[in-house]
Amino acid sequence: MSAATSSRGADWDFELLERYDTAIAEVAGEYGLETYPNQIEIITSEQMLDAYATSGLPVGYPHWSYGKEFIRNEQAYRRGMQGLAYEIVINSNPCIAYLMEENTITTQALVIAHACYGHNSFFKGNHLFRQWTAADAILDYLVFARGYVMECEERHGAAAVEEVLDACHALMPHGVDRYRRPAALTLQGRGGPARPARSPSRAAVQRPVAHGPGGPGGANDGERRPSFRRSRRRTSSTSSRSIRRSSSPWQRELSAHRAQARPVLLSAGPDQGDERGLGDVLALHDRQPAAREGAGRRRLHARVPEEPHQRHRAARHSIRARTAARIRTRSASRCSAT
Amino acid sequence: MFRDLRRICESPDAEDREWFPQLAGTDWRVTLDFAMRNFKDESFIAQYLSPRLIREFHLFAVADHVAEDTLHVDSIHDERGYRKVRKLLARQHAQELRVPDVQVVRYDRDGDRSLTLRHLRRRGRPLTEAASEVVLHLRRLWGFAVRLETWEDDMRVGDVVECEA
Repeated sequence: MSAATSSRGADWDFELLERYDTAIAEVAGEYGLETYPNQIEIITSEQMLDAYATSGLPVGYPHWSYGKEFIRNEQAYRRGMQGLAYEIVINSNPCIAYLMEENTITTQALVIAHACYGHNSFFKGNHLFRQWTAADAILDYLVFARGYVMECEERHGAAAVEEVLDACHALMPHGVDRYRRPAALTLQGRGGPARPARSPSRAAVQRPVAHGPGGPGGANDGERRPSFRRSRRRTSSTSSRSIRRSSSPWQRELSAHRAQARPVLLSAGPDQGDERGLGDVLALHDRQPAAREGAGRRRLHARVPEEPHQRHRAARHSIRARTAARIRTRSASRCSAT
Repeated sequence: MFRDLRRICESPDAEDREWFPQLAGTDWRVTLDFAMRNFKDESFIAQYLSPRLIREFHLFAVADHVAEDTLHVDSIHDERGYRKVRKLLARQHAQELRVPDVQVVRYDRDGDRSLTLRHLRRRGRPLTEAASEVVLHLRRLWGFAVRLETWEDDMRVGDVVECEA
């Protein structure tokens, strides 16, 4: 390392971070780590509290529970009962990592290596992430989900939407079906699958109760609909998917989306006993409308600014504007704060 | 654990050769890459936690069963103990054991459309009072009656939370 790239003292600046990032990327490459491109952002402690509340998601639909979580964390933090993570990294492409402003340069280097290359390479390489999450689509999907929820609020009233979201949040821990086994072959099934499976890895997972009779794919799915009366092996968990047979299409839509709207959150916080505490790998929605389809359907609420952090506190935007640094940013992310 | 894996690959001792014959002496990068790609927390521990690490971390198991008055040390640092400790630790990391096992078992399609859930009780652990609230939420989404039964080994325990349509 030449004199120009070395740091003096604990302070950091963006230029220095960039140099560290470049050096760490080089080492990661030497070890053969494959990673998504990184988007590194520096955030304040308040923004970190904000990120805690939304599991690190850069965009989200409005729901009271996020505010409640924010206040709970904030109070615990202010009273010194809880420290904050050094960083949060989310499973998206580009891989977004939020680093705390108050970290020293040593810590920044450590968390860049840990999150932006360590976790990142797991996101990209580990089979569970590959099967069940969609890093390429999640950011677009979040934008879509936000737009869709707000559209529903306008059309059906905030109270009705809140009721559905409350229910979805309450059932969230059951959003992953961990018990399902492939259904026994039916007489028709023995002749071969009626249509090709979406992917080999998902072929093992049959979807019962896909939709109500009027729902999308309802008629076609007839032959795959299992009987719920046989044995325990063919039961289905109370995943959000299986309750989509609720009364109206928009409610089905919301409850179906909730399960996948949460990415994996991992943090290197020293005081988080279990680093994976919040981060289950969540199953993706069967039809995966996500990104492309979603972005087109998106219609943002007229009164609400597009940027996620502007909504509740306009002031935060300016704080963010000063501190947000994007090192090696991939262009098209709508979710980056600039 | 990853560092230990590298050690097993690079300088295995007799114990490592016995426990991890497929790893000892191989290229550590290939081994770590495979481990990173193909496991999750619990299966990683179950596969790769070495006796040496169990000793270094001073891991052992204390059994605390409801039916017994005393605690007893269940697993120590011997052949059987290593395997048991590894298994128990892996199970502690299994995400699915952190949420109660609740599954949809019946949907009365031709009748009142009610939904029946079965909670399979693990180790005698009950649901909290919040269960009725959660069932209420489910009722809201489902739109018809919802019933949650708690079972233990194919025997209904008696706790039934019901929410009419």
